Amino acid sequence: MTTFALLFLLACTGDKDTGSDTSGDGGTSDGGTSDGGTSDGGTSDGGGGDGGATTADAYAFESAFQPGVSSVSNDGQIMRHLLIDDLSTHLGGITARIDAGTFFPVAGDVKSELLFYFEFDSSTSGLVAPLKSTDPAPAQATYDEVSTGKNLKDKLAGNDSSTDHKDWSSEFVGWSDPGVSSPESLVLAWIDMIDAAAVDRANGNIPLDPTGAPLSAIYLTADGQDLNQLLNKFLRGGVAFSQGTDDYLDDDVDGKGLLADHSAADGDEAWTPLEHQWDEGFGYFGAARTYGSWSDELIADTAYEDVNGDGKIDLLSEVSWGHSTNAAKRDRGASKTAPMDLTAQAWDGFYLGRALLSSTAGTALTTAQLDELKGYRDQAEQAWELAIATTVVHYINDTLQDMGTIGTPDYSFADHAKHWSEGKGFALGLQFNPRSPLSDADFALVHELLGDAPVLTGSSELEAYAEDLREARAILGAAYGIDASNLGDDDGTNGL
Amino acid sequence: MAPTASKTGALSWAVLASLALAVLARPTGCTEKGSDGGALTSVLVEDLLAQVGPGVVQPALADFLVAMDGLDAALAAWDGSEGSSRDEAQNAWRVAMRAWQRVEVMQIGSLGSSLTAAGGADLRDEIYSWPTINPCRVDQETAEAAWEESDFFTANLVNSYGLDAVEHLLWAGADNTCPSQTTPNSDGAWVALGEAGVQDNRAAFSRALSAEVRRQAAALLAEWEGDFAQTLAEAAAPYEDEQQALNAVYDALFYLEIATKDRKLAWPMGIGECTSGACEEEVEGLVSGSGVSSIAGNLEGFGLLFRGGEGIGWDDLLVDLGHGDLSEQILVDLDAALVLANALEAPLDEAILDQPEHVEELHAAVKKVTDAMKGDLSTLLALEIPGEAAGDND
Repeated sequence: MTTFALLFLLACTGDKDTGSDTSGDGGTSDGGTSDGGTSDGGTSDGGGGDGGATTADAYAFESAFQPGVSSVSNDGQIMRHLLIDDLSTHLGGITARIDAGTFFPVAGDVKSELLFYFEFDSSTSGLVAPLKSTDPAPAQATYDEVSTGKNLKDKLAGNDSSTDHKDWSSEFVGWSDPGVSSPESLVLAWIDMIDAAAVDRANGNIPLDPTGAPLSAIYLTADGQDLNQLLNKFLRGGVAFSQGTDDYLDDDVDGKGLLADHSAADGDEAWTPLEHQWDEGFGYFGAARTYGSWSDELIADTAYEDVNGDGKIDLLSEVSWGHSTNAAKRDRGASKTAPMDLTAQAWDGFYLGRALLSSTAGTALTTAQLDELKGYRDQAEQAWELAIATTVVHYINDTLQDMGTIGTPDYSFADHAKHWSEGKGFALGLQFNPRSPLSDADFALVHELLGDAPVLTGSSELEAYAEDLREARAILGAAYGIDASNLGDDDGTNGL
Repeated sequence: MAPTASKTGALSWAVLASLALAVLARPTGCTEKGSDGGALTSVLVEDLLAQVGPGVVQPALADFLVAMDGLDAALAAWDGSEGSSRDEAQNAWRVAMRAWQRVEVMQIGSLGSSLTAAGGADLRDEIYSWPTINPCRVDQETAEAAWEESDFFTANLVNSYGLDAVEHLLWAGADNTCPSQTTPNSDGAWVALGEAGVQDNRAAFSRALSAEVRRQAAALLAEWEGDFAQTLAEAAAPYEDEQQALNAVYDALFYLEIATKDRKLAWPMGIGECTSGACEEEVEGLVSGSGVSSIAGNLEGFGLLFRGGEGIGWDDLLVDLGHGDLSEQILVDLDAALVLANALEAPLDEAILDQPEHVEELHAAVKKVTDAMKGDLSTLLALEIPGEAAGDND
């Protein structure tokens, strides 16, 4: 994160109702950006009555309708980030329970435990403690304290279809298993595989990896897939990125996304429907409310901070989730000759758009204001997608490096599977943005090249697959304008 | 069945439009001639509305209450274990469910949704809430054993009680359906109950649930017998006029489109909204295998409401308008669908996998009935199609 925030803080004073002349040109990738300033959203030192932003370093906007009340709310989105992460954490611990003899699953047992998160049911499980661990401990002791009535299944691409830009029951691409016809069927197929592996393991049937060693976890397959990583990364795309870009920040359905009403409060709520749509999009990106002032190291390494010093980590505001953390990791790993500042680019877009909305809440946006908002949306969304795409490049490079160690003492099958699966899982998510720079044809080609599993054996097969990975990487590089110095060398080194 | 009037030839859109205008324009209580010469009388509409309560809904509710007597008796003899007493209770549940499925198509007034039906109070959900079901919640309540508390049925959501909950209790195995992370597993309550304790609680819980269902149904019948049947007949508040009252009955018939055709058949068949790999598991009555019987019950209920029981019904209205051909066609198609449903002996989820052509045939047969409802009948009588049924989810 660069000094943009300070620049903005200096630039964005003004009255709430004077209108906006922000150019919204999309900013730049180095965070120096935004000519704009803008937003005349007004600044204050926290809780002033002008309805504007409190500070450019905090995603905090007072209600235009209820003085002193925040107009920001996205607990449902944070709840889904939490469920995605908790699913992964829970899955990560099942193998040890089986191996310790404390859990002897029969068919369906592990599936039930994983569906607990995917189909989360507040009415039965709202009082359960989340698995998310922070230091200091989270402020929320139960799922209900984060949000109620939320699950992953209902918001997975294709399951909340009113704004979908494609029919995901027939146009879902990227996994060749004929039994997979939709995002949900892919998730369930992976869960079924894990369930079967758990039963097998409990009965002493543990597959061997190509080195002849027993698989170390139930989520690993002998084909080199890490189903935990596939699930985790695919859900980030299929739920968060899909909902963010194709629903809350989209502009193709009347009354939804950027076309939601902005002329009045949403019933008794403290926000307009449009403000709330924007906040929900921001929530799916996953940034903490003070992400704009956090270092890349903080976001990438711990991803939370006790901002208000109350001795607790508020999962709703003091944690960065999902893709917002990947942005920092890629910023940190970018080459010095082609630095990136995806965190700042995304923050600028989300913040400036929200400031515009805060300053205009209660009146319908003019055409010029809507265009300006779309500019901020594009800026944030492009950074968001680039964070995903560059992460795919990162894991392609890791996989290439893993392949280079096959047959040596340095080789780790589990790492190889993890790296490939993270890349594949992230890459599957790129199809969900209706404004993706990656064409449908290129998306399909990338996945044809990646396959459904990594190639693990055979020198000629490995070399051919390495070439496929490099080609996939090049396609992504061209589509997203990723500098060659960040793409990496043939062996996967010297890149992201 | 009322006497039929003369039949006319095929409908034309011009004729339909003029008829619709005539219906809209006529003042209550007047008699006018339809443009094709058939008698179009408000008296007939009044007769139809007057028949709905005493001729259709009340007998259906009375039948259901008789069936509930049987279920109550069977549950009183069930100790929660597997065996003949459970078999008898399961059979009694099937009988009660078949009777209830006829009422499902009669969601008028307080039975209907508070969101969409005039005077709706969601009482249907108090008796049977599928597809809003939650076996884990039933298991949690089985372990908690709080059904005797005075606020149990107001403090809990509808997915914790009703006939759907009784179904779960009667067909459940020794285990519960909750994941390990939550109660009654995470707190050890289920294990602490032990097999005998689970059986005792299930039996007791089922009796409490059945008694509440019976109480709700009796209250509903009393409401109809008290004044609601007359309210509907007179198109009094909550109805603004006769047309709205007629539309309320028409809306109820659309259960066959929205629930029977789309949710009970198309969804588990993989047509439309189901995106999971195992759509067939989305059938109604999965554990009891009662899905087909419920569809047959819906068709029977539709027939009762469409025919007006033994009195004036929609068929008579159509005949009176000079469109006995349409009336006849709907009845023929309805009977054909019922024959297909009754011939399907396997549980619906199995039939979808093993006899897909038979299920597809049933779906198509139901669709013929509902297409006529959405098309000619709607136009003829200037009736509004419910929003949920405006498109075709097939």
